[in-house]
Amino acid sequence: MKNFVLSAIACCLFASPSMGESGEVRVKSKEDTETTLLAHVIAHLLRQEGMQVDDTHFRFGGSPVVWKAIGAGEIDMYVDYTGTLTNQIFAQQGIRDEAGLRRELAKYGVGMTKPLGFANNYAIGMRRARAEELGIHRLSDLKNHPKLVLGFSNEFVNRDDGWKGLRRQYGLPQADVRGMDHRVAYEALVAGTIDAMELYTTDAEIRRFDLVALEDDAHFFPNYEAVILYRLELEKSHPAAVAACRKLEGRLSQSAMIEMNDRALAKDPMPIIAADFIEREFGKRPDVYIESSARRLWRLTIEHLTLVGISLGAAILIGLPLGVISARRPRLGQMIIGGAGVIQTIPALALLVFMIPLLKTGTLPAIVALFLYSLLPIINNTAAGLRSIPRPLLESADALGLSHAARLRLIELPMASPSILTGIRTSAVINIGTATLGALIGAGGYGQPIQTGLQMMDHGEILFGAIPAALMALVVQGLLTWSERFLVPRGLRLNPQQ
Amino acid sequence: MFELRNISKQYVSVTILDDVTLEIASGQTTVLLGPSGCGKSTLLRVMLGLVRPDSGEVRFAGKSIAVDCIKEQRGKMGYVVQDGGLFPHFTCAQNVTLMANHRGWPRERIEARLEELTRLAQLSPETLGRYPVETSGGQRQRIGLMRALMLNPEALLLDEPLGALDPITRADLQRDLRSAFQSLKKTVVLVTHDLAEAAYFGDHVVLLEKGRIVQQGVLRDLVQRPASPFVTQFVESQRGPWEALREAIA
Repeated sequence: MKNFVLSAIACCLFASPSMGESGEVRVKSKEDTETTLLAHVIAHLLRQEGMQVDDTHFRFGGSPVVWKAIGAGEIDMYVDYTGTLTNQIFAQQGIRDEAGLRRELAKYGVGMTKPLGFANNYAIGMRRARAEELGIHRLSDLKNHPKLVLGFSNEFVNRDDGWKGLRRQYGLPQADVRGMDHRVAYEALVAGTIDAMELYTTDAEIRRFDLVALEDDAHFFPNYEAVILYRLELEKSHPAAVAACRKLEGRLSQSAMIEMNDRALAKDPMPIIAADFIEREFGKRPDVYIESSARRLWRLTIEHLTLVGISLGAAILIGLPLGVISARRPRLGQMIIGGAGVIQTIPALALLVFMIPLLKTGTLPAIVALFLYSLLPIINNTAAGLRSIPRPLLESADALGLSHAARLRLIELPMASPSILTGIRTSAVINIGTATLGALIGAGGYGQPIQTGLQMMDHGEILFGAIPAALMALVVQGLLTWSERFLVPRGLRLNPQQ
Repeated sequence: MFELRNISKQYVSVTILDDVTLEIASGQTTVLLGPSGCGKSTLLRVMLGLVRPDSGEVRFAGKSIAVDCIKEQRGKMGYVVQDGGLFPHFTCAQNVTLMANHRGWPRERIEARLEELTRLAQLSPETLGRYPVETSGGQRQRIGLMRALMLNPEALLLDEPLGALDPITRADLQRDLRSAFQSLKKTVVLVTHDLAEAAYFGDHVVLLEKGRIVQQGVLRDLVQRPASPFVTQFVESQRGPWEALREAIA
C-alpha cells in the first residue's frame, strides 16, 4: 500500500522520459567503454536512417540492471556478450548454443542479432618479450613454469569459469596468485611484478603494452561474442531500427574494436570514434553532434535538481505530518522514527536495487529511494522541535481556548520551525549527495560523469560530476539558511543578550 | 463559581490530589496555599480542564467541565503562569490579542481593549511592540495578565504569578495586581507558597498538604486557630525577613 502511494505521488509529479513515449528508439549501454562506444555506433546508424534516438544516459547500469530494463520494456536495445548471457544472466539454464540462447531470450520478449564479428573473451596475457623468453605460446605451456607470479581481478580468481576452473582444466601448478584491480594488474605486468594476468581480448592495452594472449588450446574460456539485444516488439513497431542494427552483423572485426577502445582510452570523444568507424565501414559519415561542456553541465544540473527537488519536496510533505504524529503519540512515533531509521541504514545502492522490481529503472525509482532517504531527518527534527516546547506554554495555549489544530498552526509549528528547517537542510545535503548514485539505475544527474569517470579512471570526468554536486549542496544549504529569515519568526531569532 | 467534588488524581502511583472538595465563591480572591508538591498547581489545572481528575467532578458556573464545551468555558477563564507563559514568536501585543484575532474581533474593538488593558496592567505602551525575550520578567508577567484578561473572562486563575521576580519588581507588581483585582471584581484563584502573599491578596485562604485540604478560611483563623500541627508549622516557617534580621543583629 505504502509503495503504491509513493509511486502514485512520484508518477503525478513527474513523467519519466525513459518511460517510453513518442517514436524514439531508446539505445543504451552497460557501464563499460566498449558497449558505450557501440551504443554510439548504433545511435549514428539509426539516425542515418532518419530515426529519433533517445541516447541520454548511455551508461545505464551493470549487466543485470540493463537486462532487467530491456525485459521490462524500458529500453529498446543495447550490446551484450553471448558469454555474459549464458554464464551470468542465464547461468542456471545451461544454454549450449546460439539457438538455445535465442529461444531463452524470446521468453522475455528480447531478440538478438547475429554476432557483430569480434569477441571479447577472457584470455591469459603476458608481455611478448617475457613469453618469448620462456617459450610460452599456449595455456598448456604454463604447466612447466610453476614459479610464475599471476595477477587476477578478485572476481576472476573466484569464478568457476575463471582461475578456479582454468587451473583444474590445465592442471596448473602456480601458487603465487595475487588479487588486484584489472587496471593495476596492467601496470604490475608492465613493471614485471607479475608475469601473467587475465585479459579481455579487445582491451586496448594489449596493443599498447605489446602483450600476447596465450592460445586457449583446451578451449576452456567460453565465447563472449558481441551481439545487439533488442525488444522483439521493435520488429513490428520500428522494423527499420532492427534492420539498421542488423547492418553491423559480422562487420566489427577484432582489430577495429581494439582500435576504437584504444582511441577511447586516449580520451577521443566517443561520438567521433563511432562516426569514423561508420564512415570507413559503410562509406557515409554521420552527422556528429557533440554536446558542449556547458550544455552537458546544464542538462546534468536539471536532471539532478529534478531528482532532488521532487524527492525532497515529497519528503517534506509526508515527513512533516509524520513528525507531528510522532510528537503527539510517543508509541506510534517510536515506530515511525524506527521505521525511517531502518530505511536509513540500508546502503543507498541496495535501496536503489530493491526499487528495480517494484518501479523498474530510471528517474522514478531513484526519486522514490531519495524520498525514503530524506524522511528521517525531517520526521526526527519535526518531532524533536515539537517536543521541546515547554509544557506551560502548551497549557497556556489550551487555557486560552485554542483547538488542537489552531494550537499546532499558531503556536507549535512556528516554535518548532528552526528545528524543522535544520532537518530539511540535513535532508537536502544527504539527498544531493545520494542522488549521484541515481546514475547507477539510469536516472542521470551528476552521478553520470562520476560513474563514467570511475569506469575509465578519468579524474577530470569524476570531478565534472563531483564538483557541481558539492557546489549544489553548498548553494542549497546557503539558500535554506537564508530562508530562515522569512520562515522562522523574528521573536525566535533574537538573542536576549542584545 | 467553581465547585469541586471529591477530586482525586494520581500520577503513576503518587497521589497528587486526594478526595478534594472545594467551593470557590464568585467575585472574591481565593488563595491556594501550601508547600511545593502539595497539589495546589494541579488543583488549579483541574479547574481549567488541563488535568483530568481520576475521579470527582468539577463544575464551572453551574456546568460540568466537559470536552464538548471546554473551548467555550475556557473563553470565560483567564490563566496566568509563572513568567507569563508568553509565546516567544509573537510580540507582546500579538500575545495579548491572539485569541481576539482568532475569534475574528473587529480591529477597533481589539485596539480599544488593548489600550484599556495596558492602562490596567500599568504597562508602558512601547513594550507592546517588543518580543518576549526583549522584556523584563515583570513586564512579561503584566503581558501574561493582559492576555488572560483580553476576552474579559469571569474568572482569573494565576499560578505563582510572582514566583520568578526580584523583590522590588515583585512588590510593584503585587500592588498593581491587587488594585487590578479590586477594580475588576472578578473571581480570582491564586496559587502561591508564600504566606505573606496569601495575606496580601486573599479573601479566602485554602491550605493544602499532600493533596488534601487541611484548613480554609480567612488567614487570621489559620494563625490563631490552626486545625493541625502542620498548619502551625507552615505558618511559623514563613517568618518575614525582619525577624531573621533582628535575630542576626542580636
